[in-house]
Amino acid sequence: MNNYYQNSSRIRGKSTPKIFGILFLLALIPLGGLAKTNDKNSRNLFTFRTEQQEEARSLSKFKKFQVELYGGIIFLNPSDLNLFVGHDNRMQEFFYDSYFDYLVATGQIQSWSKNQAEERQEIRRSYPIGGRIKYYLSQSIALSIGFKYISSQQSSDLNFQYFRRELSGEWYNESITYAPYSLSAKAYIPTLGFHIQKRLINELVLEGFLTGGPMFAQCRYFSEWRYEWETEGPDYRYITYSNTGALEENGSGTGIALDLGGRISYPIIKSFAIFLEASYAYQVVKSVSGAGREERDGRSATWDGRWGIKSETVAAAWGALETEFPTNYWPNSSEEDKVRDFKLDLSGFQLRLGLSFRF
Amino acid sequence: MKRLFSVIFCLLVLTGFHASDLYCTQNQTIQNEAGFMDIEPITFNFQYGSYFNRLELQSSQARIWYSFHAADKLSEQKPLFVFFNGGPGSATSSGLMSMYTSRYTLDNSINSGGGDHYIPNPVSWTTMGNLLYIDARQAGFSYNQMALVNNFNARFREFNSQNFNCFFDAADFIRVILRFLAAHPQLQDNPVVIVGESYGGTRTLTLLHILLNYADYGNGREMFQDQALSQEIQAHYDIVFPQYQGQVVPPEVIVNQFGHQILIQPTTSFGYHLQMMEEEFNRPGSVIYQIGEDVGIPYDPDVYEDVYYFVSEVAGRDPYIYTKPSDWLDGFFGNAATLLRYTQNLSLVTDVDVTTIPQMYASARTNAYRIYDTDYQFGLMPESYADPFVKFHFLRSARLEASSVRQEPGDMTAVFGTLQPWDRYFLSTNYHANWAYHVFNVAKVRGYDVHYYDNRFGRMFLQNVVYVDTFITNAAYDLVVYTAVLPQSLAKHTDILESVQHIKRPTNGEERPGRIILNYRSSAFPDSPEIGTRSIRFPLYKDSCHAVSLTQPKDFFTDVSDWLKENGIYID
Repeated sequence: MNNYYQNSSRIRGKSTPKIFGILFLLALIPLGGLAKTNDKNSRNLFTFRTEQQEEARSLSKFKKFQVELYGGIIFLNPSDLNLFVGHDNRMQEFFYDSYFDYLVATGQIQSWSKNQAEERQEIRRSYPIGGRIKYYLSQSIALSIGFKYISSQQSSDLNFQYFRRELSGEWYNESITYAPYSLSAKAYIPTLGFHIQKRLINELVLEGFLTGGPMFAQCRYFSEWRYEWETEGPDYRYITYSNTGALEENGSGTGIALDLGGRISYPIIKSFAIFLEASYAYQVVKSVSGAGREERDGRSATWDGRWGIKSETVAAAWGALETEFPTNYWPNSSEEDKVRDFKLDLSGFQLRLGLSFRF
Repeated sequence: MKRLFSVIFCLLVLTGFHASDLYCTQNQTIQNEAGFMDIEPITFNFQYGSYFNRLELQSSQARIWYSFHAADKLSEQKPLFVFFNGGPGSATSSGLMSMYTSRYTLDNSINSGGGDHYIPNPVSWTTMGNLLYIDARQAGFSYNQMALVNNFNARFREFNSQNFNCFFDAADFIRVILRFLAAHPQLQDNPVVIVGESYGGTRTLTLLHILLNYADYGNGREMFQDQALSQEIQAHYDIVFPQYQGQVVPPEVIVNQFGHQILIQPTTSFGYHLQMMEEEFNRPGSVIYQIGEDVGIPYDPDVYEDVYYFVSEVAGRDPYIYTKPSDWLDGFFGNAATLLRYTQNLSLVTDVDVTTIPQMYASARTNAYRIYDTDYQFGLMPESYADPFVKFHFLRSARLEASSVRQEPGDMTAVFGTLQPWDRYFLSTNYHANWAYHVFNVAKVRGYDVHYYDNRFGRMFLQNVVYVDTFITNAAYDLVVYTAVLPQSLAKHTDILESVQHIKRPTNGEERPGRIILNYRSSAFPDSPEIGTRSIRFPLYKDSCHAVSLTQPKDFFTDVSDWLKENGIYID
């Protein structure tokens, strides 16, 4: 017993960084649980002594560091960034479908139809990769320092073709292509973490963890388009008008990331193990700003601005549309249309698969 | 006795010297002028407040023709009358400038089109003020320039919204007016009276709406955005209204300069106007039925869907003046177009030796273009085009002019040199431009209210009238812009007006009575104080065609003169 306590005391007495003191105290709670378990087992003194000896042996071989690398998936919904998709879809419908319905209803054209290839996609998942180095304070408790990179991009090539039959019998064929139409977000997250673990049957280890750190995030909206209007008659067909353009808005900002979850790991060979983690990550940046660029027909404009959610009421002869969308473009007085600040929210449930090496 | 004669002689001499001095002074400071105003390529856009579907366009570089006629006397104290015709795409030179407004005119007593030479105008408006005639972009003598001028597709592309839409067209005219005023400091803060004919009504209302609400045309609030124009207007107001230096000048102040409009058979709220015309024409007993009875061919709207076809082709009458045979008015425009292609005539009418204008010479117009199809054919315009109004204005008239356009009569080629095949010295109406307003217009196709049938223009007109004194002609024989139903068409704006009255009896002892009283709703325009009523002078010209200044020049002159005096404009 003395040896055990001396041994334990020696470990505890080692120069652990003070900043981990609080984390250590927290670790006493599960240790209490372990002690209770041991008390139950102590009915058999022989068994108890054997376990203590084994533990003492293992402590004498105690490897304090573990390197982990992982990759995985986050199920997220950066709703403010995704507003682009809903807004652009509504606008597309308003300026084409609703407009053509109005032209038909008011007798300005005979009919219309459309073809559509692909759809605008929201960001709904991301693929994090990362790594951490753990320092084990005990068999059950570890602290970590790590790095996580998450990246997500939804990019698609869209094409809309509208065919309207004029009163004259001519066809106006309008084609608008977005190639690419993309939304993307990425973040770099250095983390500090606290981990507790318990060995289960068959070498399986169950772990709970809380990691956190600053999040350096970026987001981007990029749409490059080409519009073409073709006139078609009984024996002629020509491009009446065409133009091209691009809109790009970039943003970056710093926020907070916290990741709370658990995992199971299973040793494969010697010091190597594989693990599967599940967690919920709160990853939010509340202030985003950056550069923007727009090109239309070879002319370009650039700007810098803070991202916000802008409300917009579009009123045309065929109706009105109220909508909100994110932007960092605030010319002149349009700031007054700002509904709120933009939030880049990359939070979500995560699943990660990784490999660890202990030394 | 000798002494008395001596005194009288001295007085005469002194008076003579004084008059002569006066004449010389005004002639030395403000001379008649003619030439071109350069307009650089302009970038502008249409938007409904969203980046989505925003249409950004850049115009061609342009040389806009103008002709300035100084007032007969005291020109520095007189208002500036700015004249333009319509079309869109039609020349002012062969229109208002040649029809009883400037010092020389066609002769309206010669039915074949005004004779073979210009005659002195007995009712020259130069007695009232200074006159500035402007040919719209690509119309009359105005021409565009571009780099890839010899490429058909490049030229074709330019005949679209980036050069031809109601807003940019008005912006062109504002630029010319402001630059002209800036170049003539003696006139810079004088009252400006806008005189627009036919489509010139839309041009006037758009131009005034931009001038009165200029800030909103650069800050994203209006559908048409031209920031450079907004800044140019602000710079002008900084000089004219120095007490508002750097601030947005309110409309009630701006009208001290731009507060009067004279509209000759104008398009204003033309979408509603066309509806009312159709209803009226199809009403049994209407003027169209009367024409049918006169010629012995009964009019039946079910048989003749296109009323202009019936009047012109079946009844053989001119829709611009239905008491005359077909093409009567076109004959005057066409004849002016022929006469003005002779440098001698053009110099006479402008009072400027036009051979001294460098931009007229072929050598100065290597990048110039007027048309995309060098044969000036109309193959791209389908016969099946459905709008009878446009069809009447476009296809028929285009064919009338096409041969004369190709031949380029006159001596300009001999004097100024041979132009490239896509250039022309003069186009009375540029139908490629006209077509771009109506059909090849990407802004229109993409849903922007840029066509002058759109109700937006009626609303803008009614908003202008709150501030701007307005005179509109009511020509009895004009079926193209049938102004008899204009009050009813304005009354269609029920969101703005509570009621519209057409008062036909004299209210002020006028020889040609007529007023439209607009009773505005209290909520007519946001942020606007209570408006109440406004009165538009609306005299009836019972013998007149579409071009009122041609058919009743003296009456028109008298009415305008009286109305301006009533409204505080110094013209004596």
